[in-house]
Amino acid sequence: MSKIPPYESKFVQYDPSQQIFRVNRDAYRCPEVFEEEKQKVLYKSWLVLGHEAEIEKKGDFVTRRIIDRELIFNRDNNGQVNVFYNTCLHRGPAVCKQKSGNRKTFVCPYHGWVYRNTGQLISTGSHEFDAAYPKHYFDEGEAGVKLKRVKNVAQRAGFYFVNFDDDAIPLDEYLADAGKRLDRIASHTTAGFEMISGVHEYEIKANYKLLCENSYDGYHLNQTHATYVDYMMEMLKGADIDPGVRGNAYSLGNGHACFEMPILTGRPIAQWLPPWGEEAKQKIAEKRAEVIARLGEELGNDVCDMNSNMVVFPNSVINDQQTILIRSIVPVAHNRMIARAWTIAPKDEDPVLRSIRMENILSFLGPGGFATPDDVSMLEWAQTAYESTDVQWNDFSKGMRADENTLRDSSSYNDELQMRAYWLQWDKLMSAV
Amino acid sequence: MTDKLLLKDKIETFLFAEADCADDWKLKEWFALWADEGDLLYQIGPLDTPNGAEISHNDMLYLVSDNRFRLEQRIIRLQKPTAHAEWPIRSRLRHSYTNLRDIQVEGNRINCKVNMLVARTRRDTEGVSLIPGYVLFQLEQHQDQLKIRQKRIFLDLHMLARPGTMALII
Repeated sequence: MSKIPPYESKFVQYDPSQQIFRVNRDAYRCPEVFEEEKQKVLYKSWLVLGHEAEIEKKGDFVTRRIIDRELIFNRDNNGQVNVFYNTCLHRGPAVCKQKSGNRKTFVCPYHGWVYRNTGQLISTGSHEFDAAYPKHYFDEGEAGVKLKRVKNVAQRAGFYFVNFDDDAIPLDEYLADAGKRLDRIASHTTAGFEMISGVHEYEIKANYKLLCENSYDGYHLNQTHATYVDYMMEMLKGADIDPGVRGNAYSLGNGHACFEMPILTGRPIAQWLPPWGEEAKQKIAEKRAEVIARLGEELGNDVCDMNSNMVVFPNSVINDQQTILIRSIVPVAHNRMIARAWTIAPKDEDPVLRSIRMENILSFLGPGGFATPDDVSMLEWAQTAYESTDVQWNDFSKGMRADENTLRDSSSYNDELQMRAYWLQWDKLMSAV
Repeated sequence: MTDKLLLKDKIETFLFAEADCADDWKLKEWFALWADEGDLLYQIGPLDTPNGAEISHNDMLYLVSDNRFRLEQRIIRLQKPTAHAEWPIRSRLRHSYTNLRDIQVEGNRINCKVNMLVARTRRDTEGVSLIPGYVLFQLEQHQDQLKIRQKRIFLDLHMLARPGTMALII
């Protein structure tokens, strides 16, 4: 990926030699910009949909809103994975109102059209009604009436993505080095993953890009999360352990980026904290030994110790920290989003470690955690200020080097390389004619 | 009054005092209502199921599941000015507990269920948000005093909206 020369556009001022990186606040506060970016960014990108663990068995399905599209993500009776638009081909209503479950068929509640879980129409309510339609409607071949599919669906390391653009580039090409990060998450276990039921879903009155920025912002940790840092120190008390507040950030190509920190928030794979007790210590030591035997000393230790927060451009957050967290951000308006987060865990996880995972998730994350509420407040206060002050530019210049290759470089975890990579990619798409 | 009514009155008086502590942000006093020794359980259950109480927090993503250590840390955290979400202006809260029922006594333990409606007003959001649900309490009689062993809250919400997070005690 070649370097981008210094430039200035409507939204971005970029000049590494002067350490200038600014983003126009109109990108967060203008309804017109939001409408434009839906077309140019959100509908043109690969967006995380879910994980294969959510639809493990034939018939399993999940319904989910991605941007403003209502989708059904399922595994049909032939074992094939499908993504359908959740609407009856007849007169419209959603054919599935449940959030998840297992179904051989989807039935429209309005007139009773029935679709097989492969998408094929098999009934319009009764034999009598069926006779009133052309025979080819029920044809399993191309002529048949079928739930409309999202054309571009692909997976990497079990993570499924969709792209609503007919001219989408292949997922692996799109992900660039972010794909390797997903592979690394998959290396936590050889047994595969299972879905933890339940979802953290909460509304934030802010532009969705503020949550993306926040998700891999190492710089805000000490200030915004002062109370969490206090809590972490309390957990480590008397244990003479380095809290590990350090690390690196990486831009991974195509606007994706992550940071990596050995920070001691505790990981079921495989980093122990004193309050978890001796039994857990033993189990975590066993898990660490298994990972190192499989992946080697260097990579194995890395997989066990490193928390990683990644944003897959433009709205998908995949974190490998207290658990593997998938956060899909639903942009609702220029100043409103719904954050939806759920988690997967290794199938072969020891019950002691699973219990730790489930409790540890909640200590930091989610609307009742020790950290997320403070993040959300920061984003909402920023949004309010953008809309009620006459200030034009945000500053993202921290740690910028004159020779920075922004889309593919590394820096300290608490610099702002990650956001610079995001915004350059965003601006590139927005500048397209 | 019968013993049953006396017990009901005693529980109600206790729960109203508990609610007052939460509403008035008297967090130390609120925590002092919990049992002094042994483990505790303070939970807010998963939102996207009607039968959250039957599903363990090990099997489904709860909103909060605190043992003694974390609950104490939560109380310490919420008292700090760096708990930004509720500082410097805290949410105005008002608990209503009604329909006290299913009172079961086993030794010094009392299990009971109440409906809950919390009205919450935050200065930087419009209007009042309502947090409806029910609570399963496990109380203990220590001498003549009641103490909380467990408080498990299950909300009648599909998602958290307006405002979408809870850095407070409900």
